[in-house]
Parts: sequence; C-alpha cells; structure tokens
Amino acid sequence: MAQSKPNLIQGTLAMLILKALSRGQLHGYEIVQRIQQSSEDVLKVEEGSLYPALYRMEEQGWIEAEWGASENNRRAKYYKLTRAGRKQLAVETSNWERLSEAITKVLRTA
Amino acid sequence: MATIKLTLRRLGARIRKEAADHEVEDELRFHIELRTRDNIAAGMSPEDAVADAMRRFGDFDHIRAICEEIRKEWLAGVMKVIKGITWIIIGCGLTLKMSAGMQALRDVGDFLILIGLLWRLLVHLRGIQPSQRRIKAAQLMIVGGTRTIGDFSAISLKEHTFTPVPAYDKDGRTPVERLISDESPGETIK
Repeated sequence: MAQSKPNLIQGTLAMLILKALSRGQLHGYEIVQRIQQSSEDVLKVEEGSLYPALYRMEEQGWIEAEWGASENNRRAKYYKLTRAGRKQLAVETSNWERLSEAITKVLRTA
Repeated sequence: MATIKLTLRRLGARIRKEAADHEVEDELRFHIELRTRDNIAAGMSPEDAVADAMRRFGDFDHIRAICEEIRKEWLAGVMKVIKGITWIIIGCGLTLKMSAGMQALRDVGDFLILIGLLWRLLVHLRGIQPSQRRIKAAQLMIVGGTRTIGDFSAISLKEHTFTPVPAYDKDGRTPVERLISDESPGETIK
C-alpha cells in the first residue's frame, strides 16, 4: 500500500521541472526553490535527485543547458525549455489532469 | 536544430572530457553552496549549515556518478554510430579498390580505406567502449537499487519521506504515462 503514493507523486518530477522552467531559465537550486514555493512548501524535492532528472531530460531534448553568471557572479548552469519540452509539458499536464480527475471521481464514489 | 546544437556541444564536451566531468561537479557543488548560504542567512551556524546542505543533497559522489554516466551513455550511442560509419567507409573503399577499373577510382578506394582505418584507430585510442560503459552503468544500477539509471526523482509530502523510485521505465515513459497508456494499469497502482 505504501508503494502507490511514491509512484504517483515521484513520477511528476519531470512535469514539475518543466513547469518551473516554463517561466524562464533557472539553475538547479532555483528550480527546487520554485517548486517548493509554488506548492507553498507542501512538495519537497530531494535536492540531489533533481540533477539526474535534469540530465535525463536534457538528453531527451526537453531542456537545454547553458553556463552563465548567477546573481552573485558565480558560474552557474542554467536550464531552459526547448520546443519539445513545451510539448512534453502540455502532454504531461494533460495526463496528470486526467489522472487526478479520475482518482478524485473514485474517491468520491467509492 | 536544437538536437544538432546539443550534439555538437556534447561532442565538444567529450573532447575536453576532464573539463566536462568537472562541470558536473561544479554544478552540484554550486547547489550545496547556495543551500549553505541560505541556511546561514536563516540563522544556522556555518557548521550546521554545511551539514544540513549535505544531508538535504544526499550522496554527492553517487549522484555525480549517475549524472556523468547519463552523459556518457548518450555519447556512447553517438560513438557507436561513428564506429559504424567507419566500417561503411572502409567497405566502400574496398569495393572501389576491388572493382573499379580506373586507377583514379582505385586511389580513391585506397584513400577511403586509410581514412576509415585512421578514424577507427582514433576512436579506439580515445578509449570509448560502449560495452564497458554498459557494465559501469549496470554497476551503478545495482548500487542505486533501481532498474534504470536515469531519474531518482523523489518528491515527498512535508511529513512523509518516500523511498526514491525511478520515474522512467525502460521505454522512457513516466509513471503517469504508464498509467494512462498501459493495457493493465493495475500493475502500476498496487
């Protein structure tokens, strides 16, 4: 029973990253902050786990990275959405809405 | 176009391999530094701030290894294609050399064979061995306790920490996509 929640919630990390990047380029730390702030601290991203996800998404062509200077003039790697990433975000958002709607229906009727 | 840019950038990064490996480490360290800075700003002592940043981040070396492996896995695929092209070049060269009547075409054949062999030698000397990469990747998978290298995505609700599981299956689908498209979604929702 305890295994079902993580599967559903953790699978949304890519979608949340894509959504965070939809407003503009961010580095990894800012992505974590953006997700936590947007969820009003309900969702907590395990910070180190973010980077394998980012690398995988970059490999899939959903995001692209570029080194730049951060606000404190440190060298930072910034990620931004590609066109494929925007399409993927639309797909994942739609899937998520269908899924959550279905679960809500089950919870209300069962 | 974006794919071509990414490919060229990654190949460039492979040529300056050491710099590329440092880039992964630099990026991860930058994250820990920012978390430490914010912790100090929130009133923690520097020692506590660093310890908390490290704890939140997780196993640094393991995460770095996974990131580097994802990058290398992709490059190994590209190099496999390049290796395949070298055999095609050598094959074309041999065909021209054996069958062409004109001396000029036989010379082209010799040239292609030479180029193909030199290219193959260069690739070999760069030490890019996709099969070895796969073994390394398999070792990482065992250490990580997962079936895929990719995404150790882990989001938890505030009061509960869940065990990290890979977000992607072997076909690259997210759990949500699996739930939507699988013929037997019951297998995923246990």
